[in-house]
Amino acid sequence: MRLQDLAAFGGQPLFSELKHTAQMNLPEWSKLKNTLRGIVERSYFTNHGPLVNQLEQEFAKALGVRHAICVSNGTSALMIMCRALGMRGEVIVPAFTFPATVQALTWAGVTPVLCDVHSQTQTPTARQVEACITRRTTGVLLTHVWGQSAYSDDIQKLADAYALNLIFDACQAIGCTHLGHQLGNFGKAEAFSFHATKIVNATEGGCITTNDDHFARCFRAARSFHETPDDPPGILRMNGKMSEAQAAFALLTLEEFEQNLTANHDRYTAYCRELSALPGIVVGVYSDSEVNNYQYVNVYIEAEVCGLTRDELFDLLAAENIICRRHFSPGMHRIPPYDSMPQQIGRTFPVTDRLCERIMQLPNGQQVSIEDVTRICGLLSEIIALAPEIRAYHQSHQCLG
Amino acid sequence: MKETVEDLAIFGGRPLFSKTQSTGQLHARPLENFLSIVREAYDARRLTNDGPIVQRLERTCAALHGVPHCIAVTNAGIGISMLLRELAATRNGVEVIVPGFSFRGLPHFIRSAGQTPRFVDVDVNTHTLDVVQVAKAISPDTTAILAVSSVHSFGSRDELVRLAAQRGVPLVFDSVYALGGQYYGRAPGAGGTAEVFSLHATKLINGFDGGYITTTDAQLALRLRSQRNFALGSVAGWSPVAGLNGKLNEIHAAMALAVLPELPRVIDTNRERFLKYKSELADCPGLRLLESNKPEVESSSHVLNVLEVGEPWPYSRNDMLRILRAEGMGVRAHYSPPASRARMNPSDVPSITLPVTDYLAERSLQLPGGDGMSERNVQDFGALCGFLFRHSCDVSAMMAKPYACK
Repeated sequence: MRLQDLAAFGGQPLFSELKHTAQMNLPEWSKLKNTLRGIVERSYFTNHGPLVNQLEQEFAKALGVRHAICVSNGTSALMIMCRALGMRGEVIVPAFTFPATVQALTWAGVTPVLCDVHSQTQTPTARQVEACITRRTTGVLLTHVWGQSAYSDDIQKLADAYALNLIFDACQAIGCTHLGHQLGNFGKAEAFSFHATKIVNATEGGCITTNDDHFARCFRAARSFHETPDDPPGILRMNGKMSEAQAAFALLTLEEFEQNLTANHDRYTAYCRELSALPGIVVGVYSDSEVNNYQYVNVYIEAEVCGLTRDELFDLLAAENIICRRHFSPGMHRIPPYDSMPQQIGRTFPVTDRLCERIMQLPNGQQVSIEDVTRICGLLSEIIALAPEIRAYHQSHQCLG
Repeated sequence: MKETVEDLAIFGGRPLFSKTQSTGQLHARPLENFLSIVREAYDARRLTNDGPIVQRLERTCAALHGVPHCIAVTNAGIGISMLLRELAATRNGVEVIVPGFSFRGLPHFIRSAGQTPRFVDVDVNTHTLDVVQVAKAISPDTTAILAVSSVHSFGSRDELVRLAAQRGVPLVFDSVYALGGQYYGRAPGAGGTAEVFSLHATKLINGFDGGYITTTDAQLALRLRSQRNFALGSVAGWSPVAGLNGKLNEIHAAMALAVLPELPRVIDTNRERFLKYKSELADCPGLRLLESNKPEVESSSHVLNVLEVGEPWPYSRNDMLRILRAEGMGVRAHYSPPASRARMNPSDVPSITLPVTDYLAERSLQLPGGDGMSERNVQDFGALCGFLFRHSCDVSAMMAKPYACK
């Protein structure tokens, strides 16, 4: 391959259609059509309908949790969870997470206090969390990044010692485990996402899980303005209802969970195999002893080894219609309004910054075949081989500029 | 039809309606239109994130309302909270002026935005904000006025716009019930700083659940688009407020787009149903169907028919709720308790007494409507009311005996 064969330099893109990082798993059209037809025939479109009830039962059963409360999206799940637990003051949250984790706290009237993460687990250690605790702290919200558990006995002990609410953002963690137990069963409650980019797809959608009957009543009350005699008083509510159409998508893709997980794993394994010899591109490893949904194929770009930065590679791939993602870059401590909050001023987040500089997610999901993976990896190999030329080209154009 | 008092369902008789009639519009025809638009999303494998169907819906609604900007959102409540948070960002106060006689969700939307509701009483005829009371309530602490169009009236819209402009306060219209109506011959949408509409299945345009914001302010539209997508992407010269997921998905947008061409027919049918209700209740003294007292100025889509129950009607509103529910009518108390005294208000929002609001909240009742309520059903309802009036002494006496009611 020559430099000019790359799409960024005038060549034909490798793919004629976009290859996304998102799962975008779709059920069979005939099944979907019949389910949507049934909704219209029942004339029951939203407001805790029969499909939402069915989804709640099936998701709870799949996770082995007492309660699953479906809502409009993962952010709503986080917002409702924080509000209904009555969190106040400050809540500690990782800087390395999707913006919604932190934003949900603001919408719940709570001050987020950002915490750096450990370089290996990419989640805060108990020691890192403890360093952020003040007299105003009422809770800890941790993210199961890439479906890897943020729970640990140490974190639980810390929460107990300081009487803090421990809750989890499990938006990436459908079907994932901690020591063999399904995530969704830890802390006081956990929030899941059924966004189209996730393995279970409700177009948009979310769910809160808990094993606590009282909290479940609080969450159910907080997601709508429908009053029941069981409702705890005084809760801040919102319209966080999931519609029947959303539930239809989620139920059909939940039915295909195992086959979609296997396909994700096959693609992940193919990426690992194809990229194993490529210098400076390190594929993120998942523990063999836990179940993961393999939604995310992370690669860490060592620019000093492969000769190109993550962002240079990202742009070169985008030109080839390979749409990667750079979650969670930039870190939340660099995003307004959180960058200027007094709680964050003067603090540094070196691990988050380092991760945000290197990490990138490669295409995965139903629209990506194993052959596509081979072609993407082949292209990456060619690009790395051309790295000195690309770098020289950029430098000469910067000089000219 | 009922022949004796014992035939009433509340006393054990057979209900008038075998299936509970809803108060909502619930319009979803033609089904094939909906499925064909869903198929577009399916084939494109694009289900959300500001997709082409949402964009098409936004363009269609912008044209419908005659405004340059329409921003689709998850639902109207999220839209109101987004707007209030955005508008408060450049002001020092924390108070939002809102009518006491309104939906019980409004105090929650306001608190979600980090603001506090300041309840103000309404006009007894239009059921919308009393402008004199609003003028008194505006203070340096005010960050916005949240005006609500009632089911039958736009209220003193022009006076509110003038007052808000004079006092430099942003004015947001909750126009959920204004959709499909006209004010001085124009559709709502360009009033105040912004207007919010609903795509909930019970409303005029069924999008399962959903909503949209209309505005003439290009900068505000840009900021709202950023806010609804986690405040990703920057708007020049603006420090973003906390973002969220306020997106509408493609399937909800597909349903809304599928039913939109039907809108004129749906409004016509609603008007016919309203007129039928009115004629059926003509001989029922004390039962008044809400309608504008300025028909030359404003019109309504009649998406919701609200009945005022007052003297000399021999039953209270709550008695009517019991009787009609037993007969299979999905009637509801309208704004009762009102937002200013809702049992479910957040713990930091105290209840307050507002004379007109409290008076209206005791007498208003939502009647069934939409596709499920046929002309014949309305006729049966009218006959039932006539029966109730003729036998009021016996019915009231039996209702006073708790053991007599089922």
